[in-house]
Amino acid sequence: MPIERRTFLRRAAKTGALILAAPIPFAAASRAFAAVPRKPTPPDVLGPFYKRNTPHHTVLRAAGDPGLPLKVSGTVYDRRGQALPGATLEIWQTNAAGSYDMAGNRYRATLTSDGKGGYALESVMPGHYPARVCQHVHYVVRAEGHKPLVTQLYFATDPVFEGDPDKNYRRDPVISSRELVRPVTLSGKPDAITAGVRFDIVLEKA
Amino acid sequence: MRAGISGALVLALTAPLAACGGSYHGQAYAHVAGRHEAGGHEHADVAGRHVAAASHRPEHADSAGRHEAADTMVKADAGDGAPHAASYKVSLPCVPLIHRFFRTTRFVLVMCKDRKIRIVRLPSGRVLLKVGREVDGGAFAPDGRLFAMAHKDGRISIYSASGKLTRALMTAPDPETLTFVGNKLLVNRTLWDVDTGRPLRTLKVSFGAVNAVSRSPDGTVLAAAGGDTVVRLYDAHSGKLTHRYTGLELEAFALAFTDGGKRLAVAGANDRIVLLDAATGHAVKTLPHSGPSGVFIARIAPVGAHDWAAVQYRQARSARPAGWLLVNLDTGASRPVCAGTKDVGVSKGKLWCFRIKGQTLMARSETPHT
Repeated sequence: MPIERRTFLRRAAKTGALILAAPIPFAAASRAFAAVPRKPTPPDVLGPFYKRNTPHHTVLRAAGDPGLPLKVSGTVYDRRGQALPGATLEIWQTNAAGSYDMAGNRYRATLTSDGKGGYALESVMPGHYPARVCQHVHYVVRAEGHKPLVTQLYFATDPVFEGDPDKNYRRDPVISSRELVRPVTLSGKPDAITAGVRFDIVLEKA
Repeated sequence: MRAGISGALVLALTAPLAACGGSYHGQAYAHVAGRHEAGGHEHADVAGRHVAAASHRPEHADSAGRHEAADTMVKADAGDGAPHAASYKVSLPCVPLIHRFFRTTRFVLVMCKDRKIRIVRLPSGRVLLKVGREVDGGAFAPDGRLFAMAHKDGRISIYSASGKLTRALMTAPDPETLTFVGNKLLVNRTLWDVDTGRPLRTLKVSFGAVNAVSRSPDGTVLAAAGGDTVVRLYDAHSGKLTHRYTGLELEAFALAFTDGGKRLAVAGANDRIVLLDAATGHAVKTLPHSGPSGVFIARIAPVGAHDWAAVQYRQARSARPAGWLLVNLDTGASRPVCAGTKDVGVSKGKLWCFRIKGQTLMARSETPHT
């Protein structure tokens, strides 16, 4: 049963899941961890709604789309911590109402990591798809000389976790690892809040 | 203290608590038990797959291993008005907590309150095999002579039709992919020789799982549909990849050879059926959209003459099973069949619709006719 919003936030603060702090710029965070050996990103299931040949764009939401604006960014690395420019990221998710676009390409995109391995997209917080427990974004990431990675991004603020993803992430049996549940940064003016998530990808050598 | 790890929500100083909480208004969320959102596999519509049990060995087997055709033992049902219909009822050993049908139509797996699995032969209702062990899935060989049971501890047990344990494989199966391909067993992406207990070969996909496999009637061609949307054809004997069909944008979840093995029917998330030339891998025909809007096709089985197939469709919104269609593979025309049933089987040209109510299994057949 969903808990009341303020209870959820209070509990999140009490468990340490809620942090009131200015966000560190992603670029600075990236530099701080550059060339540090990294664990490969855990894989997760592909799901039935993968579609190939999706458009190359970084803004998935259209003006007026309902839902909390979401910015996802990250860097694609190899296990040695070297950035991987030119990696291909195929990304898809539901709209805010929890529906996938099967006929078209809404909330679907193919991205290419930039010269520093970075990628970024603008979307909305996905809804709860009826056959799944948690909000999620699908990824297929490929880079030359590396194993393709199929994985999913989850949000630590998902109400299903009741503010404590460490304890409750297994409520969605598809979630293969706690590492895939990422913290959410809210920023902006009170009437124009945007959620921000950083999701770095680490690929294994083929 | 898990502040650094949990980090569920980081608020920039410009976003007051009251405003951030309001962002979640109107977001419904559901606690739905289910391991896969895919559901596009043969037995995905069966609820509750995890059972606890104790012993390893089969405790009971009462079959002599004969393989009568189910549809030779049924009586005509004159009451439903369908010209080719026949039906039968079977009293199961219990009100099953779990049941699962197999394509051969000759068997149904049920789990009773004692948490033990029984394999029941149809239509006689005799218990072929009773085994108490944590079971996650199972599959019958097409000829019904072997049964593979995937256990929760990662083992796969192969039983003969007489209930004898003939082979145990140690692997980490995804029970959704447990499928016999002739006398080979496909577990995840790997084909196993059940005679020797050794892996034979691994089917390649660029990424994702092998969603479906099918073998041509003459046993020479193996087809596999990958999560990468590619349908691959292999020489079944050498394992050599012979053709790739890359014309799909969405995943395929069902394959079936038709027309005596000349064509391969492919169905999947694009809610269309594509017919491939099994010799070349080229698309011969794409059928017009058949059935309800937004269907998400999950299973296909040729029925009777080569130009008919039973197709399970699912809700596009949730991928949950929604019903069955009988589709003419030449014209694309379709009609709903097996209303109210969860699973079907095909035997000797007839489509069997199965339903369980209480302790009674009801089977009804439909024959394609123009």
